[in-house]
Amino acid sequence: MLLLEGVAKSFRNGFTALKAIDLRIDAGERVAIVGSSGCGKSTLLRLVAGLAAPSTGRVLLNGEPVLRPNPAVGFIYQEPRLMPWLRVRDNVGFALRGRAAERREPVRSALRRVGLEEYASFYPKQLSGGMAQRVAIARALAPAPKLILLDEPFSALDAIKRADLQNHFLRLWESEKLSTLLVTHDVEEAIVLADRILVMHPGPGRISAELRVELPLEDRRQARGFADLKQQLLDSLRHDEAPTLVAHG
Amino acid sequence: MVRGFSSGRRGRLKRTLVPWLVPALLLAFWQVSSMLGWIPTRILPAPTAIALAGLQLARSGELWTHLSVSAARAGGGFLIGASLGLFFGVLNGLLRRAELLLDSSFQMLRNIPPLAMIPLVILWFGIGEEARVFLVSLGVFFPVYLNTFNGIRSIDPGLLEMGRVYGLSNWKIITDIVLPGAMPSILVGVRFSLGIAWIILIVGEQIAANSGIGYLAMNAREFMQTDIIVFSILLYALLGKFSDALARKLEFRLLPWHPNFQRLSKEFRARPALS
Repeated sequence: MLLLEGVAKSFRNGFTALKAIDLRIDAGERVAIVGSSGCGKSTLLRLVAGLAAPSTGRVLLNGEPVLRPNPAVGFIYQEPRLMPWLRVRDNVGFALRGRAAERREPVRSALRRVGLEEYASFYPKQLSGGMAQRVAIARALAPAPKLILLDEPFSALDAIKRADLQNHFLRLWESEKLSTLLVTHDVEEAIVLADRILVMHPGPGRISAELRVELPLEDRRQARGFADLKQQLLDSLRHDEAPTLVAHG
Repeated sequence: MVRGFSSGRRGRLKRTLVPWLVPALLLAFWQVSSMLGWIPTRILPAPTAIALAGLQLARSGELWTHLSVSAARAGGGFLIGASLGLFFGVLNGLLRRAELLLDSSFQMLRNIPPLAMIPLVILWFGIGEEARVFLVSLGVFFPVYLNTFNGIRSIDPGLLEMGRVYGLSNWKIITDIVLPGAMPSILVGVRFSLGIAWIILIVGEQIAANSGIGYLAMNAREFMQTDIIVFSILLYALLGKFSDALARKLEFRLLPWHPNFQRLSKEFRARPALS
């Protein structure tokens, strides 16, 4: 589905953000990239989203090079990024093409999936932080994407709302079978939401370790092996090069 | 913390009446002072005398002629100045190169009071309508330009990126994100410049004009008609207030989502913000 081959990204000022990134995400796979701030995680997402071009290497989506933003890729940011002047339904429909009548049903369906159908006529300022983020999720879902990119999507929320949304997210992903690429610095979030975790290190950004999560999907935080997995992940983040790890529940 | 009136009928009535309390008290004091002879009518006639003068002007039709001429000048000047301000505000707000080329020139021109341009404007345009419309346009241009420019520059870059993520064309980004996002700031500029339009027109109409409210006042001065002079001045104040109220209505109409305009918005009253 998504393939990155030898991808590097350097900027005009000579700063190299990413170096020799190889990554493959299959259909329906949930992958998380964990790393400290400034390690190039968000730059990697921007390349996949088609918002920037790699300096070397290739980014392929379903075999086609990614040259510009693609409707098959949804993007969810740390903050909801809703247009304050648009009602919830128009924010969700913002990602859709076509006439208003054609957009109505996909919008309704996306709002139903995040449990906000009755808030369609609200303005973003009338919603709580968690609800606004659910609207952002609905907006990403509305064009029926094949791949969803998540850039620290729950880090602006308090612990309870974050856990609620993570669970909601998991149920959603389970039913939609979407491929996801999540970047986060929260190792627990990565373990809860991903099947495979890649550890990134800065200077320049590179993938230094890979960890497969084989815990039951339901309530992973309580699962046996969660604490060990978290410790292994933290250890690999602390050390520049870590061996390939496999965790079993 | 700012305390306001309660919502509901009584609250609305209070909000409508309270702003008129001070002017009404001043008028009453003025009227009583005139009746008691504390203020000589030659210097300042009583409010009733001024109202009477206004009534006579209205009956003769003179008032409506001058009023429509002034309104046309203010409206024409405003439309030209505001359109140019909006155009250059959008251009410089969007393109750094255009800003580099034009903004410092605009900032220099902005610091010249439009009224200081009168001698030059008379040389350029003579004493016809063009001169007055030009002066109003000049005065209106800068508030609209500056507020449009700042409004565009203060748009959350995250929203612009969101537009790019969903493949919006540059034109759609301008119409669907940039302009709505800058609208609160643009409307502040519009509101401010409407007031300026009338202020500049007051002076502009007192120079070699043969119609308009300014002319009415200057003509009355020749005949020592203090009541008409004061009536003309009050008319400017009322027109300014009327323009401001229109601009405010426009803000409520166009920005129902904005926190500053939620107080009176029916929808926001019906559906208070969720916690």
